[in-house]
Amino acid sequence: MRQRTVIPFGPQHPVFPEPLQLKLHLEEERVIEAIPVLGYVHRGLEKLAEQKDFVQNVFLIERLCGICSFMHALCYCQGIESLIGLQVPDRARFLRTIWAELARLHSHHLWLGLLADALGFESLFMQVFRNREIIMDVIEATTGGRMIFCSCLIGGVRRDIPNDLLKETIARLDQAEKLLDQIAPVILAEYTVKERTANLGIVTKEQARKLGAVGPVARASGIAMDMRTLGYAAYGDLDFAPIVEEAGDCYARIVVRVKEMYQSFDLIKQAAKRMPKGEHALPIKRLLPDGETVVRVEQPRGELMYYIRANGSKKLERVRVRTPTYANIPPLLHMLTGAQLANVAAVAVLSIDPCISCVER
Amino acid sequence: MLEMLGNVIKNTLATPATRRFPAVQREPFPGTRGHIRMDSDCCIFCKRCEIHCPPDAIVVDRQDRTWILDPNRCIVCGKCVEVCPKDCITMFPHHRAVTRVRIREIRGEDDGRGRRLEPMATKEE
Repeated sequence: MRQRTVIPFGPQHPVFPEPLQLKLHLEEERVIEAIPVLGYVHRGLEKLAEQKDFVQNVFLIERLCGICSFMHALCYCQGIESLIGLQVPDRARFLRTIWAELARLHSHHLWLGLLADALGFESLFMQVFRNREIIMDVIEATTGGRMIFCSCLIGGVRRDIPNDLLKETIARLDQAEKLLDQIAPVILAEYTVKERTANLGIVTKEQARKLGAVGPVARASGIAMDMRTLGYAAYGDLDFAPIVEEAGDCYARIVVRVKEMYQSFDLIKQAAKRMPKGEHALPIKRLLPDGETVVRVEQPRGELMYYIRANGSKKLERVRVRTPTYANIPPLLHMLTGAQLANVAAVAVLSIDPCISCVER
Repeated sequence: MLEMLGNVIKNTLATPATRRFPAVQREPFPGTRGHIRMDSDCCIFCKRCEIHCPPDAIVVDRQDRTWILDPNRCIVCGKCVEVCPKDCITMFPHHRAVTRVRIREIRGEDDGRGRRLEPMATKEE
């Protein structure tokens, strides 16, 4: 029998932006088993959300995660709005869509940069981050914050995007899209990237379904699952279709995410074109949530689910958050089994785009 | 080869994508949430900012006529700016350096007709 070695992979590792530990059981260079160890950044935010009132919770929930903060706020606000029976104004729905897509864009740019860096493709990393900076500037100009948008509110959005700023935003995004046109072929056609990622960490359609994969991981395995098709915010009024790849390997996941970036640019332009006039927020005075609800939105990493239970008072009874990375850990463990140690960091782990602070809340 | 030549010329003539930082500072956008400041002259110590503040960073004392902000707790969400009935809390786009110092705004006594008997003061503690 060959000797087994256990390597603690993480929590501090150059490719991880956040602390995740994987105990890798190796036989020579091959991973036989991977055991995740979570809990390094647990902050007890779900418990804290039960102690603050439901309006203050929006600010708390936004700080659950840095990269997809807007999606958390959007999901929570939608849940509370359904509990108090509030219909958001049309303009707020479209503004929410624009910001959600901007969040997706900057998240995918971050991921692409980190992947390029992990592959040892440092110049691509810099190019991607230069492009991301344009999107961050757009976010700062429209919301007032670079990472934490603070723009979603129960009953609408906190600030409007005036039409001239909207035009400027679209012009800047056109510029970013042109730069992406130069970067995207490099990552998609470069043979070194293909050699490192193709036929690696394969998750077939059946396995993805069985393991409960969500988001780009599921879509790369041929499952057309995109929560945006539920039509929340203004997605019901826009034309798009989930991007699906069949191969199920790491390369397919890259392709899905790069195509989604283009889709996001397109969705923002569509939303800006069809932006209705009118107010952007409704008052929620003297309305209190009662009952329980489940809300789902599509985060950059996949399906985000909130369960909210309220009892007619200012404080909520329970807020439960199920984040996409949590759902994608079983597929990750499946991908790691049989992988070479050198591929674990760069390819397998990053291809699910892990967001640990989301998972541990 | 010719394609590469074009790139070489472009890159030689192009300016760097980054700023020359200490010399060129990045200016925040007009609506950026940088830091809040309170003008104690118009504050009526109604405590609305304290009640609404999500991280409990503001403490208002009616008796002492003080308004204390803990910048370390403040998440610069701007909720206090929204709820202030007298609009005396203002959001500024520039970020304040990280500090453990609390900002205490003290309003001096007035004679009840708006005439100030003592000047207002901002203390850092």
